[in-house]
Formats: sequence, C-alpha cells, structure tokens
Amino acid sequence: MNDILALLVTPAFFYAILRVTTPILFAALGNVISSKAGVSNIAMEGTMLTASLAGVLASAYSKSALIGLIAALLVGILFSAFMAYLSLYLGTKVIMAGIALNLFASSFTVYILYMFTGQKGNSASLASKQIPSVKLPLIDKIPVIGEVFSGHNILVYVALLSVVAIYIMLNKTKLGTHIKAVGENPAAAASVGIKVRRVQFISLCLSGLLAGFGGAYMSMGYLSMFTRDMIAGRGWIAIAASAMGRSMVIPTTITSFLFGIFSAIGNVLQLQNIPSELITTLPYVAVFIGIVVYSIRKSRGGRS
Amino acid sequence: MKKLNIKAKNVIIQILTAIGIALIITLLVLLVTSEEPFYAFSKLLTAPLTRVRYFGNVIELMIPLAFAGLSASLLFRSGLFNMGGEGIFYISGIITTVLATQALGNGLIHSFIVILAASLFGGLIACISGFFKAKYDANELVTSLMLNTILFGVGFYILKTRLKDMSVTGVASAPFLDTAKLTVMVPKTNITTGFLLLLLLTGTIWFIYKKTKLGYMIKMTGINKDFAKYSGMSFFALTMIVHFMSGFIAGMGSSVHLLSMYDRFTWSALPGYGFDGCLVAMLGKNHPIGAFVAAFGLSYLRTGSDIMARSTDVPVEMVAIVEMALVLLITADFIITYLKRKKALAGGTVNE
Repeated sequence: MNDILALLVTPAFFYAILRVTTPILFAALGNVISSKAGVSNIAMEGTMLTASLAGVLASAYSKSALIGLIAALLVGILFSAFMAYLSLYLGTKVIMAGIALNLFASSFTVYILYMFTGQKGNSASLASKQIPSVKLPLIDKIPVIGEVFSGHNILVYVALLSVVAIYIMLNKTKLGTHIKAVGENPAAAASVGIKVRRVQFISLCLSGLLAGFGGAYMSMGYLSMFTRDMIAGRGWIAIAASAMGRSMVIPTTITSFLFGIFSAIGNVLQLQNIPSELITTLPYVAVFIGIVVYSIRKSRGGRS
Repeated sequence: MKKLNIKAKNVIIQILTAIGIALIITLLVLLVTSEEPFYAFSKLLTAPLTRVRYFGNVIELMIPLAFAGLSASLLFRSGLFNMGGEGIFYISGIITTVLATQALGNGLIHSFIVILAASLFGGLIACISGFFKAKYDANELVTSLMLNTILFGVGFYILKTRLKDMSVTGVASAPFLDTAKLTVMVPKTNITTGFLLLLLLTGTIWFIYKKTKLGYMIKMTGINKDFAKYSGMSFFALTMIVHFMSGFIAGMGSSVHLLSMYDRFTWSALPGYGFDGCLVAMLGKNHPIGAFVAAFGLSYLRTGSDIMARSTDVPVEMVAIVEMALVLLITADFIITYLKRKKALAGGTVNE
C-alpha cells in the first residue's frame, strides 16, 4: 500500500495527470460549447477517432506534423458539420445522429486505415509525425513544478489555454452571448434577430474543432500512431465531465481533471500486481460514481 | 384508418428511398476503391442467397441482432437513451457460461433455467442505470456506457480466474453441456429453437405496444416525458419497468446466441451486439416488427459483405458506410416532409 502511495506523490504522477487529462479536457470543452447552444454534441468519441486517423494519415503523407494537425482539425469540423446538417436541417434528433455517428466512426476508421495501409489494427507501418513537446523557459528551472508542468506536448498547453479562450468567448464576446441566448430560449433569441440554427451550427463546428485537437493529441502526441478504437471511451468520459460541470467552463475543467486523476491512478496501478482487467475499469467506475453522486446532490438541492 | 394507411405508405416510401440511395452510395464507393466494383456489388447483394449455409448464416446472425434491437427499441421508444445492452450481453454471457457448464437437468429444463437466469440477471443489471435515472435523473447514456466497460472488466476477470478451462490454449471456458444447448431446427445450419423464442418475443412486444396500457404509456412518455405523471403511473415505475424489460431481452439474446452458436464462452472483448442493437432499433423505427425486419436486413448485409470480403479486394468494414447511410436516411424525416409537402402542393391536406 505504501509502495503505491509513494508512486502517487511523485512529480511524474502529476505530470501524467496533465498528460491523460488533455484529451478529456478538449472533448469536454467541446461538449460545453454545444450544450450551451442547446445541442449537446455526444459524438465526441467518433469525432476524435476520425480526427486522430486523419492526423496520422496527413502527417505521414505530407511529412509534416503541422499539416497533420490541420487535417485533424478540419476533419473534426467536417464531422461535426455533417452531424449539424443532419440534425438542424434534415430533422434527425441530435442524440440519435450522435449515437449513429459514434458507431459509424469505429468501423469507418478501420476501413480507411485498411485502404491506406492494408492493416486493420494500427498505423505502425506509416511514418507519421508527432507534434513536438516543448520545454517551458524559466518554469523548467523550478524544481518539482518544472518537472510537472514543463516538457509536455504542445497540445497539452493548447488545452489549458483553450480553457481561458472558451471562457472569454462564452462570457465576453457577441458570439458567446448569442450561443447562450440560443441555448436558454431559442424562441426569444430568434425574436431579437439571432439566427438560431446558424448559431447552433457554429457551436457544433467549434465542438468538432476541439474534438479535432483531442484526436490529433491522441495519435500524434499521447501515442505516436493510430490504433483501432484508440479513444476508448474518453469522449464519453468528457461528456460525463461536462454534465457534472453543468456545462460551465471552470467546473467542467475541474471534473475533467478529476477523471484524469483516476485514469492516471489506473495507469500506475496497472504496473503493480493487481489484475489489469479490474484496474482498467477504475476511471469508468469513478465517472459512474461521480455522475450518480452529482445527480443525487442535484435532486436533493432541487427539492429543498 | 385511411390516415394510418397514408402514414404507413409514407414510411414505406421513405425506407425504400433510403435503401435506394444507400445502394447508390455503396456502388459509388466500390467504383472508387475497388478493382472489381460490379463483381463486389453483386456478391454483396446476392451471395447470401446462393447457398443454404450462407442463408443459415443470415438467420444465425439475425437472432442476436434482433434481440438487441428489441431491447434498445423499448428504451428509445420511451425516450430513454441507454446503450447498456452491450455490457449486459457480456455479463449475461458469463451467467450463461456458469450455468451451462453444470448439470442442471435434462434438455429442455436445463436450457430453460440457463436462459431464464441470464435474462433475469440482465434485467437486474439494466435496473442499475434505470434506478439512478428514475430516482435522481442521472444521465442514463453516460452511466450505461460506463457500466459497459465496468461489466466487461468484471466479467473478463471472472472468466480468466474462475471459468477458464486450463486444458485449452487461449481464454475459453469449459464446454457447454449438450443438455443446455438449443436444438438445431434446420439441418446444415445453426438455426435453433432460439428463432422460435425470437418470434414469440417479437409478437409479445407487439402485443404490449398495441393492446396494453403499458405499451400506450411507453409511447406517450417517449413523446412527452410529463405524460407518465398525469396518467396514473409514475415516471419512476415506468422507467424501472422499461429498463428491466430491456435488460431481460438483452440477457435472453446473449444466452440464446451462446447456446446456439458456441461450444465454449470465448469472448475476450465486448461482442458489439448491444451497439448494433441501437442501429437495429433506429432502422426499425423503434417498432418490434421493424426491429425484426431491420435485424434481418442488417444481418443479410453483413453476411453479404463477409462473403464479398473473402472473394474480392474490399474489406468487410466497407459495410459500415452502407449501414450509416441507411440509418441516417431512415432517422432523418426529410423524405417524409418532402412527401407531405408534395401532397400539400397537389391540393391534399397535410396532417402534421
């Protein structure tokens, strides 16, 4: 027991928390934007998966990590735009479209991977590029803090900065005000001349952009290749984080980190002599308990 | 009655249009990616009919898909978005394995006990998400998806530590006893009495929807969540009943599938039937007979694509594109809107 505790209070463990929280945070923030506009994007899992494959393929063929990242972002936006078009203009329920597209992405990515590489498991045969890591100046020199915060993949810092950016976007800009107005009362928003569907379309595309970042991070930072179903429920964990954070930026960031901590603990314990089948369920158990506790507290609070 | 006919006609036109468009998309994809597109296309569509064994495969695969589809459609119909069928398929498979490897009586009784136990257990597991949804409004989509992974982890752990047959390589349980396995009805295939159970179940659900108060409540609650409150049955009771029924059906599907097709339990990953059930439910427009037909269609398509993948350069995952086109075209209501609008322009009445 003490051995495990010793493993958890090291700078390496806190470094790992930032590393595993990043994809969850990207997707959770994406869900926040769409939820604020009243069209919760639950296709984060599928969007991230498709974007991560796009990043790997584009970077391998262009020999440029930057082009890979741009491709992942574009595919993320396109994937969400497709879903937005279906639900806003063709009348599919957004939740149904989300469920269907998540299932679709799982086999579609394998199909595309096979078309390009002849493999169905992973993209190891492609020389795809990685998005580089950076050492932060000054902070790097501080003991402990430097070890935790410096030397991460660029996208880890992008994730942290996007917390700030989205907070400002939602609270200080015209677009943010429109998004919130549309989400709270679409009829009222329409009556003052806000184009409801257009605002919802834009917010779904923005959520796709963030999922694109998350996907690119997974295949070009967290790992150095695409593997089948590599998102492994992170999109859903993100949606749980956004639900528990009541679709607000700061609380959602906190819950994302909470789930990130449990994922990191799971990763540490896997190296111990504990059955890995049970340990891998730890983050999911944490999310399950988190959602239940949150809902109980919310319903108690509503009653009094 | 006339109005119903028009509605049914619109749905049929919509589905046929969707199938037509999906086939065109398939052909286009094949033209771009395959060296022998027309051969692949014809294999995909006609291969399952060429041999009794192939058509047997269609029915064999259809059975778990239909069970999973019926399970999901019950939930979707009541406006509950729960995808927990996947985990229930796995954990009920573990229950099936525990009981099917022990002597518990002669043929019919043993199978009956195994299927009933797996179904009841599935029902109870589904009630976990159901309870927290009904009582505290916990998001059932998230809890059920988390449970899928948790149930798999626990089930796989039990399989590896308690059920594994050490005399065989790989992870497999001890063999199922012959008394537990279902009887094959059609020679040269694995179509078992499980198919009769499926027919019975589809009929029962249809009857519940059509003739009982519960069926009416399920439909109305799906349309408006507040309806249950004003109709004498609480939302709590309805949510629990629907979750239990759905889990029961998923558990039944899992044990019927295992006792028909397997000699040992060998799943070392989630089987996917629960998720496919969501597609079946959407394709069947949350209707039991729709789910039955959709399961057949999906199974036909998958069997066809499997044979196609073996004899051409097209991978089996190509079928995902066809399935997605079908699901999206059938769940989107723009074709129906178009039909209504056309009728309105022609001077008929539109009843939205």
